[in-house]
Amino acid sequence: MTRVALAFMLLCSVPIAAHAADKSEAESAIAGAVKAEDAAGKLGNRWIPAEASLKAAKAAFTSGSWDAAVAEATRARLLAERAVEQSNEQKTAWRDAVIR
Amino acid sequence: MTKAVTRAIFHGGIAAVLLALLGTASVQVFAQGTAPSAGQAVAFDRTKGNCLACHTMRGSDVPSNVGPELNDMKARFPDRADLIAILQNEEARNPQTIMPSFGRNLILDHQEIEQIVDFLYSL
Amino acid sequence: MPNRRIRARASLRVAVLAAAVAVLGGAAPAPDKTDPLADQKAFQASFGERFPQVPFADFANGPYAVSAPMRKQWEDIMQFPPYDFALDEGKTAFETPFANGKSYADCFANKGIGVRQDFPYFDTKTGEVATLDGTINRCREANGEKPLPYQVGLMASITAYMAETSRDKPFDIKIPDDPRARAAYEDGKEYFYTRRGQLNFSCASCHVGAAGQRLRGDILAPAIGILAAFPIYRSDWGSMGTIDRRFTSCSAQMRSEPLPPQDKSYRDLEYFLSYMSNGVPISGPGTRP
Repeated sequence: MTRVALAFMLLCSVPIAAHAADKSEAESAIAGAVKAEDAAGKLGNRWIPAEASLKAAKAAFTSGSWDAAVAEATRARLLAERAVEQSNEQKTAWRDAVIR
Repeated sequence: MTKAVTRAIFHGGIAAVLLALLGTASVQVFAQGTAPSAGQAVAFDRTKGNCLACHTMRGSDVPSNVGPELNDMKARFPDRADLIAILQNEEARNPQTIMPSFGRNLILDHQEIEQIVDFLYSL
Repeated sequence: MPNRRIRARASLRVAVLAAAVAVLGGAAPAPDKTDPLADQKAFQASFGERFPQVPFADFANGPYAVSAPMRKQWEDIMQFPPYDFALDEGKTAFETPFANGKSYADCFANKGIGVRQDFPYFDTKTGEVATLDGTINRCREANGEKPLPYQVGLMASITAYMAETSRDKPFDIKIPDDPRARAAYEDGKEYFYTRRGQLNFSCASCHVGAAGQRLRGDILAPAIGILAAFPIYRSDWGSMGTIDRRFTSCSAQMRSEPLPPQDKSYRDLEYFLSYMSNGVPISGPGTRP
């Protein structure tokens, strides 16, 4: 788990530290985030911070800030993927919480 | 569980590649030893740890008791990894917990969790 | 649960052995069996054990039932109830005929007086849960009027008046012998216990597990009877709000994108929560911090 967090942190720092993103990278990052958010939406579990990051990514894209667009879209995608994971786990796990 | 492990290995793999690219030195920046005041700021920030919503501790001005009072942390949690695990994903240890999965759900990043643990050890 | 499924598959292969085990030790209960009445008994017993000092009917008063200091503040506030203006507005609206000469009274049993405790109900015609708020709007539309917004304003005022005429009548929610009704109940139950949003809470996290505990200055309200006081004047809002307002704000506090008001999941949740609270008297309109 620590390694996942570490990977995420490093991923976020890549566009700044390693190289500048271009328009097509920003486009595909946003497309990936939209796809993940749609999957979360199908499960009725859109997370507000994922929506906010996706919105910020689109705004950054519009203003030509490719690095910011990639960073926000990546965050939106990771949040949405986690939402999907949560929903899938909860499909059975909720029963363990029921008062009996 | 299997999926989580696969994911961890996958992300771990990416981490390993990036580590090779960036060099291990930069990772050490996030190791323990930050000033407790930095951790306190993250812990008390309502958009970050928001710890005071549920816990009472030194510096609280409200008597929250959803979670246990936080004091004497060094004695109660001598192993730093236990505190990290609780902040990362307490649901794994206690499936019915109300404690948010701060790390797993990307509420806090790794550095912020380390900072909060430094702060907790000052309590 | 996956373990149980694996076990079930294994027991199919060794059916004879499984049957023998069932005879000897008793079969495990099917996980998907719906027994609302058993759920309700367990739910009410659980809160009774958690709060032995609280008379059952007092669960209609939410956090004031479980916190003496808050009850004192409440008694002070009730010298001049902050929902009084809404009650007046709601009564006037309720009694004013629509343009076609009909009125709200024509859409409800007993002319809409003293009926709050029967909502929500399962409508066998539509096959869905009908709430009081939804029925008010259906009444308006059937009589050529525009529907009201669900969360604030006149909807809160009209439901406030209708609740006030129903005070002290115990929740009397029925689940008819209809598989669609049981499905709606089960859907509401699943919604209540399912974790969602970035903070990883379910409704139950706060209103079962942590009920009665202090979250900053607030006391988390027990789930039982939690809807008996609606609509409520909330100091935090500075205005009246309906059940939809509370559900959507709860979702947002969990960092989960709220559903539209009266979404099927919210109606099913209301059905589940109200059925769990059968016997708790209507206390609305209410006030909350």
